[in-house]
Amino acid sequence: DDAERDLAAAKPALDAALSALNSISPKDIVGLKALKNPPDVVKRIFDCVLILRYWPVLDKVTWQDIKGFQVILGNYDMAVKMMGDMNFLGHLVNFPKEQINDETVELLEPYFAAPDFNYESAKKASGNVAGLCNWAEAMCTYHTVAKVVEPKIAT
Amino acid sequence: MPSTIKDAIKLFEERKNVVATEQEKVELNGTCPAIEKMDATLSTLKACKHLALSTNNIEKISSLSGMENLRILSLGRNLIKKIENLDAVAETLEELWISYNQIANLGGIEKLVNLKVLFMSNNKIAAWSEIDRLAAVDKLEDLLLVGNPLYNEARDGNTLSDYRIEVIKRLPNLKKLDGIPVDVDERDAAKAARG
Repeated sequence: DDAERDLAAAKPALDAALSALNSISPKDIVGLKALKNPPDVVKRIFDCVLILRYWPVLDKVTWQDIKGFQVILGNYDMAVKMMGDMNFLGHLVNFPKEQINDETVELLEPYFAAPDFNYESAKKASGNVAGLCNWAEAMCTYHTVAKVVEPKIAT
Repeated sequence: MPSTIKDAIKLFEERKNVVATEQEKVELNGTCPAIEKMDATLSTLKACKHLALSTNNIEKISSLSGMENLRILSLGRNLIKKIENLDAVAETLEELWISYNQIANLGGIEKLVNLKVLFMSNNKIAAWSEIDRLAAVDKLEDLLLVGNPLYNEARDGNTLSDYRIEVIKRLPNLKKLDGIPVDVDERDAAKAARG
């Protein structure tokens, strides 16, 4: 029926999220932490992870020009703090995706809108941690689909 | 130069190829450069049910008169300190999304008599007396407080389950707190704590 078909539609997004996380190793995180100034797209990807986990981002929204387009300045100090947790990747694997709300999805939209915010350009800039970009998008896709599906299952 | 509401509406119309005054969801979130002030141009948005103003640098809530259909007001990630100037939409407003702002005081929230959802993670709520004010909002079902000092202290002290009972004790009609449904045991414990 409808609900099952919609759920099946969400499955690829979830599979993509898990394989995105599995493509990242603790060694990638260590390598990233060693960078004093990582590529800008990496900082923005980490802002998305901060927002999904309700961690602090910069209070004031600051737009800056990167290669001819405007993007939001990330809170990379906080990202480094988050990566300092030995179980950082574990938290993402076990992320409570059913707790995501509509506001969080809206707060991520301005990041997703940047032309370089995709796996390919993040991979070029930063290697395997680009998988976090797919993970963040998959979490939003899951929420959007689940919102449509849940009332149908309930009836 | 910050964007005005008029600039932001124009960008939205161009991006979506729509007429803003006819839209139920008006997306002015993440406007570049950021919006700093709400103004009377908002009163032209007569059909709007969901006003998205998140991810800007707005310091003060204002200028909502004329938005007679507004159900969801989204102001997350701005620089707002006070819940104020909501009288014009108090009757219709069901959801206030205001995470990532500077709110320490919930005075003014009692006017939102039809509010069901209040998302306010990462603000400055530090005192139980602020949660007491929410008791006046008796339709409130879904509350998000993660990242406020009150929540962070409980998390750091490993007392989140006590914190939940304390919130539910004050807000018996709550169905969901911090993204997690309120369960029967929590409801019973809160009832016992109320005495």
